[in-house]
Amino acid sequence: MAGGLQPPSAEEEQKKAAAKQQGVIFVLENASLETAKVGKGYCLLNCDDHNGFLRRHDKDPALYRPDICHQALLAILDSPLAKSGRLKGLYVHTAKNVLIQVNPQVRLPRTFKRFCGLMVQLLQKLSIRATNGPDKLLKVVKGPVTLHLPAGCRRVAFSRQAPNLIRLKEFVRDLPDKTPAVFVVGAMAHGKIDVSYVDQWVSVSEYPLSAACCLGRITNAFEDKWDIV
Amino acid sequence: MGKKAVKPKQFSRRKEAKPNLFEHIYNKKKFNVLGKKQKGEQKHGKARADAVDKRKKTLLVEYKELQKSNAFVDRRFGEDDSSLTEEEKALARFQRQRMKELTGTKFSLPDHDEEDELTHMGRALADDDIKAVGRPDLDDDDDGGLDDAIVRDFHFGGGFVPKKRVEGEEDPEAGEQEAPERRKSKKEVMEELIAKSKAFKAAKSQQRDEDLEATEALDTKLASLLESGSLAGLVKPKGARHNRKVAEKDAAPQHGDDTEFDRFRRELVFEAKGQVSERTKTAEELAELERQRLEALEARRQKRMRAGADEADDLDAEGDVAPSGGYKARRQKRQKRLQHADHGPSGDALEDEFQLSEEDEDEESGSEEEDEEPVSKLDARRKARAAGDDELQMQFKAESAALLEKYGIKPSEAGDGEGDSDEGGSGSEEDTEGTGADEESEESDKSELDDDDEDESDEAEADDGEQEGQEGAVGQALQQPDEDRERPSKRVDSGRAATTSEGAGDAAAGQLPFTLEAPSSYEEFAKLVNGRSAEELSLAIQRIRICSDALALASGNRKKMQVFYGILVQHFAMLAGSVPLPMDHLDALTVHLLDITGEVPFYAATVARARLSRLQQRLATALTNPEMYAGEDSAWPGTRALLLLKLWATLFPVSDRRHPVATPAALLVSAHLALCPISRASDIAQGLFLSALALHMAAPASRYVPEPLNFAVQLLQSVAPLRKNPPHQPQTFFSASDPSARWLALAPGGGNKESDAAEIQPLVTASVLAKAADDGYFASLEFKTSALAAAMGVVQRAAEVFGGIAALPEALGPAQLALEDLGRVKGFPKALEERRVEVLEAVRQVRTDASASRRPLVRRGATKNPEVKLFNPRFEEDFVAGKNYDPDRERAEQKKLKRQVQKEKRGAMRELRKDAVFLGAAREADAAAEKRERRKNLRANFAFLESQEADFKSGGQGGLWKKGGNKKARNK
Repeated sequence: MAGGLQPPSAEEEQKKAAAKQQGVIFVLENASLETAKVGKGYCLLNCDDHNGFLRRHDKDPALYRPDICHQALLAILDSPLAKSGRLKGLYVHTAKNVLIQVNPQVRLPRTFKRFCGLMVQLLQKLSIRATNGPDKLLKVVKGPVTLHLPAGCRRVAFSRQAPNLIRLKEFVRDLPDKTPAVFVVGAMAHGKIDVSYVDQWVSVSEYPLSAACCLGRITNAFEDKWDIV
Repeated sequence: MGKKAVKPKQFSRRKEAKPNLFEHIYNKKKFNVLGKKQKGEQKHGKARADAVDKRKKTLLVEYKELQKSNAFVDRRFGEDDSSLTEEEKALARFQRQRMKELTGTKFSLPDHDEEDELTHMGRALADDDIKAVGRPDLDDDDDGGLDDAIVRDFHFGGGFVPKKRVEGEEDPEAGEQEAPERRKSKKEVMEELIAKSKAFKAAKSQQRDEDLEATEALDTKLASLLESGSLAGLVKPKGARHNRKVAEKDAAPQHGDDTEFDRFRRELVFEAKGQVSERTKTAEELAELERQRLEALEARRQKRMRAGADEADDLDAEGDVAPSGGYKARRQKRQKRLQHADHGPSGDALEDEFQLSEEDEDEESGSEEEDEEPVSKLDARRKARAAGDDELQMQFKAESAALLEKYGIKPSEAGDGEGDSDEGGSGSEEDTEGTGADEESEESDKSELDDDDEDESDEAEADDGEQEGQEGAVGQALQQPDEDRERPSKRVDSGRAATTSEGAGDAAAGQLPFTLEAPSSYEEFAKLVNGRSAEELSLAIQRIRICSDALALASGNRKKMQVFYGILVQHFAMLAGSVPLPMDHLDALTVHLLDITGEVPFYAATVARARLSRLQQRLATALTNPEMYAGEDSAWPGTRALLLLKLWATLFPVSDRRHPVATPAALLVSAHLALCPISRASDIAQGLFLSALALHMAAPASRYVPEPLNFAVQLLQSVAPLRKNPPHQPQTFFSASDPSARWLALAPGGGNKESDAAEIQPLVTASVLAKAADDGYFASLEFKTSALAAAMGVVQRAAEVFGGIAALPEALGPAQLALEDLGRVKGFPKALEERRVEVLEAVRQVRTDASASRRPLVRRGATKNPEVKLFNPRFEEDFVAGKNYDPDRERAEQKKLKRQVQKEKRGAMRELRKDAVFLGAAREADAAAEKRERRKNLRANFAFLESQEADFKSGGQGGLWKKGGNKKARNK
């Protein structure tokens, strides 16, 4: 820049705006998004199509469930909460320790096959641009995710085993509006998310919930709170 | 340069040296991608060493020969190659020399001792095969295989069966054997053929002879058998069958029982067997069927009610939009007609049939065809026949008339002359009018008007009826005098009817015949029913209808029914115009009219429309010439017209969105309410009747009709003087009446006491409408009270009917205001006051409900939350890393080339850089060597000089002088 003074980058500005406004940030932990060379081309491993392949490589097919991640992403991105612009950030942390930053304005493929194609390309090219815009919609970023979370935000992780069972509506109502809240939800088939950066572990139901259902509850609660119809 | 000689194969390089561990470059993997092969770890290190080697061989050599004009080339074999041992080198050299010896000189000729061979097509000419070709082999004389050969080669070419080798031939010579057979001359072949055919003929004739002999032998044997008579029992004599039949016939009477039995048997065989019939339906099934029928009818009614709204949809659903004209339209109409013929008209199927017959027969086939195509002779004849002017028809008429005369019946009575009955009808009507005029001393103006109107109506008739071929019936129905505009009080029909019934009581006199022919004119019918009670009237019509139904299949029955319908309507009109109103009779008639309307819907509609058009004309005349109606007669319709309107509202479905009768009737009622001014108190009664009728017609489809409400409000406002400064309200209606007129103003303080006690008397149609305009009743408090109550009733009913309309609060605003104003009037009867409060409450309630149900007008875009714009990710279905997915091929190609150039450029730069480094190292090494040498020399020189110096200093002792040394030497 000529003048010596540079305006802050677009990303920084975005980050600042996200930090300032009320909103929600979601982190999907432990998502099983893994590419492999099956035959000639690269595929996103899933338990249905690559059962034999996974067994050949001594992997447990039950752990390869990218459809969970797909459903969870759709549940978030299709909610009125996201459409109203209150979704401030969305990160997917895979089991292979790849952190993907998802632009809240992305329109994900509806079908699983196309989603797989998208993810394969993302994991090879490390970023996906928009057809109708210049922005990078999906981007592999450097971890840990805490680098990208605004300062001072409340970080809540969900686990069925968490000691305090809460009612989500009341919980959400009591959250402060000044900074966005971060919700960490596991997008895996089995097990527990293992994150150290959260402030609070909560359980929202007496029953084990699917990721999409849990996210749907959260978005509903926020829609109620902010009167988004 | 020197090593270009062929390297013998057996000298392989020695085993490669052990890889240098320092040259390993490890490919560190961040992600272990499943299924991906990991390859080539030490490749990079080896490449570097190879590159250095290569430079040593090329660049270094060039560098060394730089600035040198010649070079020594060692062409000795294996001299440079350090990898070969001395023995190997020696062996290779020896081998090379031997090879050179073997190769010989370049120009020496090959020393073949055999002579050159001549060839043809790659084969030596000396070859036996070629020599053999062309030498005919004539020593073929074995005829053993000849037949087979002929069959094989000449009979149809042998087909496609592969040629079998002839047995007589030897295998190795097969090729040579076949050739001579093929060369058999044509003559020989033909001779063989002829010989064969001759032999065949001979064999055939021989066979025939043998057969003949055998047959003859058999014949002789049979003849001998016949002669012996042993076969007689097996042969039937000629005519035996016939003889037997005759014999049976003769024998039949003897066995009567048998024939009887046979007859029964035959009868039983041909007897009709019991057919499986549909089982009797249970009560539930019958109810279900009835329910389905009613549902279908209701669905059709609903469809017609919504006609405008989803007409297009319906048409689309049916498959295509009805075209307005042309061939397609006609075809569709024809189909429709066919359908109609299949299903038959329903009770409500008026509209279809109406449209069908009217358009199809009247306009389409009549006018359009005439326009489009010249009338053919056939058509002309048909028309003439339809008109009854055909020669044959005339002839037939004459003959039939003669026949009737012969049997003592007058042709006119027989009822074939339509015109006759017509004239009779109109004549009688005129007569009755005349009597009426005489009795009641009508004005001369009025009779003139009558004439005019009649002319008009006649014209209308001609328009309507001519093309239909129904002039008689329609004419009769229309030939009714213009009773509508006559005062009810002046009617004398009933009086006349009474006198005639009393006078001519000889025929009827209480006893009704059980079988009644459908009357062909109104006179007949009037003669039959005049003076009878309602029950008897109903019974008479019932019997006529039954008799007609019995003749349902008879030709012309429909027409008779139409005529009868016209008569009934006329009778209804007559009764409706009489004083006092015979309500029982009217009710009895209505029931039958309702039934018959379903049977002749089109005709019923025609009759109704004709009357409606006359009412409309009357209204128009009345409104354009107000002075004509200023006196006794008013623009408001008379009792007859009112009751007829009511009749049509009953006969035809008023809920239809468009109906040929109900719609104009409703419009006419509204027009009367809106346009006729209240010029006297008696008009109020008619207006109220029309208001109720309009609401009645609007209610089933819940249509909005403003006129009755406006009329009622007008009446309510006419009670009290207008406010000084009325609150502003939208002008919702136009009133033809004088707004300042106080028609219903209650007498100030008049009869407060009695009015409080009195109940509100309902307005009875029969009694109120029958009263003369100048009757004292209309000025009475009773009438005013009743009229006010009725007006309030209209308001209340309107509030109910218009329930779903969005503009209801505004529409009911004036009514509410008027009702509130009435509260200020003093001396209101108590019952009326109660009623007022009740209606007012109802109106208020409806208005508030309607207001509450209104949604605020919101522009959707103004309040909508802005939606986040969504972007579609750009990705490929089956992505391959490194592939260019640019849809523009040219651009992709350009990019690829650029990338290649860049790559090459970078590679070249790298090479140059490394070359420079290598050369630099070489130069440095050279310089270092030179320097080292120079230093060495320098050192040597210095050493020499030092030794010289030392030698000199030591006095020739070579620097080895020592202070006691000489002594030692001396000692030696």
